[in-house]
Amino acid sequence: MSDEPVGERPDEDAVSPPKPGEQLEPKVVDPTSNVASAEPGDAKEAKPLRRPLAVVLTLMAMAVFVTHLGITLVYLSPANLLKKEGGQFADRYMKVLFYQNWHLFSPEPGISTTKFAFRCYPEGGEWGQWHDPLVSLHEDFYKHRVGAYGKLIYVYRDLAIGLKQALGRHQRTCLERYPEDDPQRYLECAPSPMMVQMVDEPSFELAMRFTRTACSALIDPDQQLAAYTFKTLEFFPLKYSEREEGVAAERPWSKVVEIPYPIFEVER
Amino acid sequence: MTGAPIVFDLRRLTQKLLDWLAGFATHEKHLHAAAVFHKVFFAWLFLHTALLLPYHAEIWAPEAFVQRYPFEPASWLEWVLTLSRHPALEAYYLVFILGQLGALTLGFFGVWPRLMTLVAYLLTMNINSLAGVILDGGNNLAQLVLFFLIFVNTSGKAIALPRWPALRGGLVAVANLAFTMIMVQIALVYFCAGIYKLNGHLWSNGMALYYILQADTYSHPVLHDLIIEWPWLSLIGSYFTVGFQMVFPYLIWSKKTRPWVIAAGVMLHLGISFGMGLFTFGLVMIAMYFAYCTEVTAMSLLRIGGRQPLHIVRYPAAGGRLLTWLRRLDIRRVLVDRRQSGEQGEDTSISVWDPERERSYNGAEALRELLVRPFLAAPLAPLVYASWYLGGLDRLQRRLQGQPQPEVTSQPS
Repeated sequence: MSDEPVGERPDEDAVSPPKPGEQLEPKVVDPTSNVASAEPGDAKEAKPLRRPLAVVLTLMAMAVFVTHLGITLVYLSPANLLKKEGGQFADRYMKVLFYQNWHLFSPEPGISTTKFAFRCYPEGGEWGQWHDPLVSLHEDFYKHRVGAYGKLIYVYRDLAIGLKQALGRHQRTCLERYPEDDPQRYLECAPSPMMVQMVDEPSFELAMRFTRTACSALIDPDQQLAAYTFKTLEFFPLKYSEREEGVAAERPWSKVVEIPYPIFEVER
Repeated sequence: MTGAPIVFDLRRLTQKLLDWLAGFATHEKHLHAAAVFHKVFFAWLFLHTALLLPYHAEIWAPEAFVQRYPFEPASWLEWVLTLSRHPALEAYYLVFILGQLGALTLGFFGVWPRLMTLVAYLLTMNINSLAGVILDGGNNLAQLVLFFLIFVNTSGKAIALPRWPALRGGLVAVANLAFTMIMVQIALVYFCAGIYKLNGHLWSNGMALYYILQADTYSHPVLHDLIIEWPWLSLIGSYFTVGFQMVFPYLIWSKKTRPWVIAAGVMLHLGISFGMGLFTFGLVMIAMYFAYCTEVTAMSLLRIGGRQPLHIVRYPAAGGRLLTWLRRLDIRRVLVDRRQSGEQGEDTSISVWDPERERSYNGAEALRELLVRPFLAAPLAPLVYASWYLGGLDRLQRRLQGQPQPEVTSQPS
C-alpha cells in the first residue's frame, strides 16, 4: 500500500479528494468574475470603482466605438444618401489605419486568367521560344497546397495584370476623347498606338526589368542578350453553353486575347 | 410613499441599465476568449510570414519584381507604418521580418502581450507595405484585428491596478469594446461580401464557382475537371457560400446557432484553403472564429497543454502493471497517488479525483482519465475515447477488478 505521491505535488493540487464513490458536479465558473479585486493579495488594497464613474468611462468608450462603427458602415455602404453626405470624410478617416475591401470575388468573380510571356534574342542567334514564368510555380502550387506557392504566383502574375490595368486606363482615357459613334476611336485607341504612353508606366518598366533578368539567365553564358520582347495573354474560361456544344474536348478555353509589346534592343 | 408601479419599474430599468453600463468598466467580459484568440491569431501571423520567409528575396527585397509606392516623407504615418520602404532602409527588410517573428513568438508565450501586439502591428504593417501584391482579404482583416487587439488585455489575467480604479475602469471598458469591435468587424466582412455577391449575376445564377474553378490561380486540375463534368456542384457551392455569408452576421451572436455557423464556416474555409489554394486566407478566417469563444470554452482551451493533476483515490491490485506503465509515461507527474489503506483490494473499482475541476470519476470513466492524462500517452487519446465510447474500457476495468465478463446470450428464437 503506497501513500507516496506519484510525482512532486505542488501546493495548488492540495484539494481534498472526495470520499470514495462521491460524485461532484463540475466546477461552474462565472465568466463575469474577472475583476481585479479577486486577485489574491489585492483585496485589501483595491479601491472600488464607483458606479457613476464606471458608467461615465463606459459611455466615453462607447461613444468612440459607435462613432468608429458608424463611419465604417458609411465607408462600406454602396452609394446612398449617407455616403453622399459623409463619404469623403469616411474615406479620409478609413484610408490608412482602417482601409478595408470585402468584395472577395464579388459582385462578379474575376474569371479570366491573365498570363505574362516573354522571349529572348541572343546575339548571333535567333528568337527563342515563348516562356511563361508561372509554369513551374503552378506545378508546385498544385502539388503542395500547404505552402507559399499561391502567394508567389501573385508576384509574377502581377507583371501581366499590372500591364493589363495600365493599358486599360490609357485606352479608357483615349476613348473618351472621341464621340461614341466615331469608328476611328477603335483604331486610335487599339493597344499598339497606346504603347507610346505605356513606356512611362511603372508596370511597363517592371516587365522590362523582369524580362531582361530572365533572358540573361536563360541564354548561354557565352552569349549576350541582343533583344527581348513580351506579351500578355488573357484566357477566358469555357462558357456553360460551350460545354454543351462539346468545345471542352477541343480546347480548355473559350477565347484568348493576346497583346504583344514592342521588341527592345539591348544597348551596349 | 412608493409611487405608481410604472415609476418603480422605470427606476428598476434605469438601475439595470446603469449596472449593465458599469459592468463594461468593471468586468472583463472576454478575458479568456481574448487570450485564446490572441494565441491562435499570433500563430497564424507567424505561419504566414514563416511560409514566405524562404522566398524573401523574391517578395520583399528591393530588387524583387513587385510594384511599390514611393516613400512619402511628408506624412508622419508613413514614418510609422511604411518605414521599411524608406530608401535608406529598404535593404534591411529582413530586420523587420525577423523582428515580427520575434515579437509574435514572445507575444504567443505571454511575454509583455500588449507591447508585443503593438510591435507586431507596426512591423506587420511595414512588411505588408513592401509587397502589397501578395495581400488578400485575410491580410486586410488581420491588419485591422491586430490594431484593435492592441487595446485588448490578452494576458488571460485580469487587469490589476488596485490603487488606480479609474484608470483600470477605463482600460477595462476600452478592452471590452475593442474586443467587441473585433467580433463586429469579422461579422462585417461576411455581411459586405454577402451583400456584394447578391448583386453579382454569376453568384445569383449559381455559376460563380463554375468559372472561378477554371482559373489557374484559384483552382486545382482535379477541381477544374470536376466542375466541368458536374456543373451542379457550382450551383450548390455558390449558393452555400452566399447563404452562409448572409446568415453569419446574425446567427453568430446566438449561443444556440453559433456552433452550427462555425462548423459551416470551417467547412467553407477549408475548401477555400485546399480547393482554391488560398491557404492562408482560409486559415485566418477559421482563426477568427476563436473570437466568438465563450469564456467557459476558452478556459478549457487554455488548459490544453497545461498540467492537469489527477488523484488516484482507489485502484485494484490486479492492475498494478498498467499503473506502472502509466507512471513511466507520466513525465510531467500529473498522476498523484492518494489511496488510503484497504483501497487496493482484489475487487476494488477505479476511482480518481480531478482537483482542478473538483470532480471525481469512477469505473470506465476513471480508467479513461488515467489513460489520457500522462503526457506521453496523449497521442493515444482518440483511441482511448473511442474505446471508452464503445464499451472497451468497461471490459478492461472489469478485468482489472477480477470480475467475470458478462456472457453474451443469444435471443430466444
